[in-house]
Amino acid sequence: MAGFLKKTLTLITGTDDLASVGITLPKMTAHQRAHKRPTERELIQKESEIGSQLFGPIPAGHHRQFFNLDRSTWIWYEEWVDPTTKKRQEATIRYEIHQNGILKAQEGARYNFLEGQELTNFITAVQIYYERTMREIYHCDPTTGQKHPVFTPSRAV
Amino acid sequence: MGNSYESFDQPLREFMPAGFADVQSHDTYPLPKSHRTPRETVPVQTAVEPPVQPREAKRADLDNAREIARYLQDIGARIEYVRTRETSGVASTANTYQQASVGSQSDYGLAG
Repeated sequence: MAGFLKKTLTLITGTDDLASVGITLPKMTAHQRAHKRPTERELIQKESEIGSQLFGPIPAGHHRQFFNLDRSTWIWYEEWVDPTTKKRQEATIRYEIHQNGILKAQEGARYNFLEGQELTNFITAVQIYYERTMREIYHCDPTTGQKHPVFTPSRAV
Repeated sequence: MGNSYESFDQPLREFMPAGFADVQSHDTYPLPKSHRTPRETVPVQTAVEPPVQPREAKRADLDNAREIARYLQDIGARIEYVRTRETSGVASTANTYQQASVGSQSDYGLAG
């Protein structure tokens, strides 16, 4: 934001030295930076890092994401380079929570409701995702929602 | 809504995907009887099993799917709640989860 503002003012005033025309930009302090609220996108990215680890080791050259998009949608995304064609491949699967089951929507208009072992695995993955994101990202108890006190070394003395 | 965590007062169901094995953990959100397993002993197999009515079996599957869907939506609602709490503060998000909780409670037949 500060960069954008500086660039805009530079274009308006026609000089890089804003101080020479009497403009000083406010600077974000370290305290402000530390307490800046994350965006939803940033939080989803953090969650996705945990989500990608839930299904075992990721094969070399693969990039995987698994995350909760909203209360009734989960996304699996995988990207890799095909060793034979050397072309980049990707697959996105959307899991939608419907009243009558979990709909798996894949590319090519393929839809089916999860059942059997796949359904069990999905539920287990969601449970672990929930437990881990609550504890590791939001630092709160998954059952009560209460925040755990965050350990800060400067206060520990 | 003085306490920002009141929304979590409603306990999340403990869910055992493998055959709903842990019946005792479902006391707060009782599962349909069709999913309950006997607590004491495994029943002795009788010589002749009563025939399962296809319609009943289908109904049980549907109930099962609905329970799973509600459970997963509970989790989704909680994640959404905490995420919103982090990005924009508690006060503006408190109702979001509570509405979901109240809806879920009545769905489970627990309200009132």
